[in-house]
Amino acid sequence: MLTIDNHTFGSRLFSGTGKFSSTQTMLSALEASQTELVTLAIKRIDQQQKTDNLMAPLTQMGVKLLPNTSGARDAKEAIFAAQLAKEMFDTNWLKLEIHPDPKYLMPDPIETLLAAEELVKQGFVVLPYVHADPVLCHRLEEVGCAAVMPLASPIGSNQGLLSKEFLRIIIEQSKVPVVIDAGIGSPSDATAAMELGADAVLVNTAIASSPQPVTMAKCFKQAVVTGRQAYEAGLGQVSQHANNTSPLTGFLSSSLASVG
Amino acid sequence: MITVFINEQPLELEQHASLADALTIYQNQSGQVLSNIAVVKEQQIMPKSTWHNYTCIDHDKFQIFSAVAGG
Repeated sequence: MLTIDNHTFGSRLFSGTGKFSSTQTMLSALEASQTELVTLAIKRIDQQQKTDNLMAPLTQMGVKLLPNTSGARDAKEAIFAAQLAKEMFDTNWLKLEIHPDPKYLMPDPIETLLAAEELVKQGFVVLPYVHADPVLCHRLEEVGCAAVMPLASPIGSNQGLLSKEFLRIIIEQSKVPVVIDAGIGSPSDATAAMELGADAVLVNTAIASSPQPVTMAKCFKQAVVTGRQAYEAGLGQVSQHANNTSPLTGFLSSSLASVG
Repeated sequence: MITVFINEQPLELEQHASLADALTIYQNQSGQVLSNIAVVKEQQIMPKSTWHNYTCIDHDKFQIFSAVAGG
């Protein structure tokens, strides 16, 4: 079981809700994934474009909501977005994300730390989306973040664990849960993340962009369970050299010698 | 009658209409479902608890935010 700020999760697969072809497909995929935490974004209502009411079916599913601050370009905007989210969702949980660069969507570490510190003071349960930077993750932990969410690779890129060696350090050092977010592109990436010792992974694009999102959601569910079980079982040592798994007693050479 | 603006769209209201009234009329006219929203006026969030008590003033400008899918 995973606990973040006194809330316990049976599933270590967190899911985003973006990019699905329809709300129904998204709901079916979430159900198949058995996720218990889903992210949502905030948008100004556009009168010309009717949006589905996501909240009712998500509430009915019983998942915990994690609003994000996507679109915020600095700490001030993120704090305002957090307050909007609290008003809208009636939750103090927040995925803090600040990415001023629209091309690579790289999180701004300085603004994220500033915002996190203030939001924790305001009583938010802050889960910041950040680079796989062990120093930054430690600082975020020090200011009171409930978890850290370092990226595997750029958002929506499906490139997998490009930051693997830094994630390893973050996991080793962190005293708060580490949720690997962004860029996980395949179930095997999720397994690898969990084998590293991640407490959870957050997956969105890899499921939503699959031609069969519901099946892919099931695959991710299994992958996360497998990775966690492997981590708990303990992986074998990695060696630079071969180590025989069968006896090398030279019995053939001695047998052949006796024949000769 | 007074005119307020919700996300830049003008909305005609009776004198002394509350913000809650304005939102109901906006919902009926736009067809948008206004559940789980946040309302902002002059960069200040207006808590739900104030919607019934706030009396709209001519040319008030409100912004409404809602949940959308996201990662």
